[in-house]
Amino acid sequence: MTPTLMEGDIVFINRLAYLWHNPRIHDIVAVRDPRDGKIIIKRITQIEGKHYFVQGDNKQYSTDSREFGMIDRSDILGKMLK
Amino acid sequence: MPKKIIVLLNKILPTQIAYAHCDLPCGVYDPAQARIEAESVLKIMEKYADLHEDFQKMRAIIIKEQRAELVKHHLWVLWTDYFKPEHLEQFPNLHDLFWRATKAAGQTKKSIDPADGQKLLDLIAEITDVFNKTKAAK
Repeated sequence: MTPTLMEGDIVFINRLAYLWHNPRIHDIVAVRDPRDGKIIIKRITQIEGKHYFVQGDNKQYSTDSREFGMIDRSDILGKMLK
Repeated sequence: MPKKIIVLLNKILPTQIAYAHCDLPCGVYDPAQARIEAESVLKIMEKYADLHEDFQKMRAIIIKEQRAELVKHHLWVLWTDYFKPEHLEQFPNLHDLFWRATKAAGQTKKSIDPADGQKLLDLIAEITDVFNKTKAAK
């Protein structure tokens, strides 16, 4: 997620952010990696119904929805606080 | 936010490690890499019988094992990086095919029977066929 995030950064995830409204494009979110269940941080770039396309800000080197496909709404854990 | 407050909150609040790292998905995949190494394995097996000097035989065995390991590596890259869940839906035998192919690569390490080398090449050809179909579908 460089240059937005650097290795070792501490970030806060608001797990209640999406209680009242759905995630939006440009939100930076913590999601469950559909491949191994690890928590990863990506930016939402596209929304189709309940499915979200997420990408890293470092597009050239990011492993994201271009690799593992769209993620479900239920895999979004929360929104990163800026 | 001041660093002291972050450190304090970090101690109070439940924390987990999140990953945002980037690797280098160059997006270039081709079973030809595995096939070329497997062809080397087969050629070494075929030539082994004509080798008479111990150092030549030893060298052939070492190179064969290195090539077989490369076959495994290239197959794993394809299996884990290129192929996606939707491919598995389309080709339900995909996991079994890769499992048999990597097993066959392992077998060529401990064998000098060209039949084992050919079996490995046949399995890579099957993988290539599946790969080409997924490429054509894009």
